[in-house]
Amino acid sequence: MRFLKDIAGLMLARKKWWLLPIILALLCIGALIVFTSGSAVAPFIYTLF
Amino acid sequence: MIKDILKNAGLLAAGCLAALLLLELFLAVYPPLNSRVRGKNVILFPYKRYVVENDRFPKLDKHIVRSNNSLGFRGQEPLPAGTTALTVIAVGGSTTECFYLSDGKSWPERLQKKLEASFGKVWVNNAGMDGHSTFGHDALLSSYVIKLKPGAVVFLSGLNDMGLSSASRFDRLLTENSERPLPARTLVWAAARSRVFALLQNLLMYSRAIKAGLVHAELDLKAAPSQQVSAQEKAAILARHKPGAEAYGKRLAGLVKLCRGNGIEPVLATQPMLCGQGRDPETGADLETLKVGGEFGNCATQWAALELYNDETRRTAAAMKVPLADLAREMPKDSSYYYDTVHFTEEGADLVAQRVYLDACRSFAKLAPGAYRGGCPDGGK
Repeated sequence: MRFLKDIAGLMLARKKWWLLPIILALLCIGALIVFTSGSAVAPFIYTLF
Repeated sequence: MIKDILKNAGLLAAGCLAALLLLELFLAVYPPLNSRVRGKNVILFPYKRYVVENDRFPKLDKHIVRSNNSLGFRGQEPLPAGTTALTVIAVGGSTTECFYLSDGKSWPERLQKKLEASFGKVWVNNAGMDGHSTFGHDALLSSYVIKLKPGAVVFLSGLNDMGLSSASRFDRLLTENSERPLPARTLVWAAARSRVFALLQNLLMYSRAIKAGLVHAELDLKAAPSQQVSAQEKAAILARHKPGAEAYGKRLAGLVKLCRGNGIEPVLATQPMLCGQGRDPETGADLETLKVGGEFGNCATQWAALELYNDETRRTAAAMKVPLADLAREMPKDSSYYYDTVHFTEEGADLVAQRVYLDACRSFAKLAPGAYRGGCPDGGK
């Protein structure tokens, strides 16, 4: 959490808004790794097509 | 001032592009969800193996192993070219795929075992895919199944077409080809080219399967709530589904023509479900007032809507002289055959295989006379 706060602080102070999409992408990657490990993946393949 | 704005906008665009490339690279190396649909195409995963430690469905195995063969289907590897055999592929949605039944226990794999009593050599593969409607079946047939030239294709369909009719207009247009609005058209276009957008498309399709109340779900009939639906509400829901069911009938007829045009004999099956009239013999639960997800309110209304689609299957089978396994009428309303309202337990899968065997064996015998050894039952009605 502290790391994220530091990054947000850097973005605010230096006005480096272009970092935001990259940080969001990294968060997405983290979330995908955490939430798709193990059996939980199986239900997500139910795609109504 | 304008120069600064342009510079910042350019940096932001570069940041977005870098983020997209980063995600794209990640998904190419580690595809966590195995998106089965990309744009308008079905993606198969040869040799994919899922291991599920099941603590959700008490009626099913605790340790479930579900694997694909080299084709990306469930079942045995293809036979060597030139083998005289009856070859069948089962196409459908989750009630065909039987995701939570371990290898060898889905109904198409059980059908193979039953057919082995009457045929010297039999090859049955399970090409069922969770969530697929006749749109998905068409894509699957065109991209994969036709090239394999099986003798027959068994379609167990209707449930997910009903789910599509329940979906919102925008959701439906993600699937249907005509008159897509620009956002849906853009997403489908981008999903065909990008893993990131394909993941987004699959998550949207998953969310609409949840909204339609179609996903695998735990069902404790003894504790399940009940719900009343007035006659007017029921009539309104059925009226909303009538055009969807008619469109389904036309698509099904198109699939029959597509099969026959490629020398494949289709077999149709109606979609059974636990819901209907009366009480469940195992738990005593009222199968009419049982509350269900989606727009239907209760089980009786969902069953009545599904029967609109089943009627189209029956009509298509009669009009086009296609063998029909009328599972919706043949399967007892008994929770020992289902672990939720539509998905089969092992007993249910075995009964489905038995019914398809009884209803289609003689048609299969005509397709593969060289492999037929006799002994097909007389319809089993």
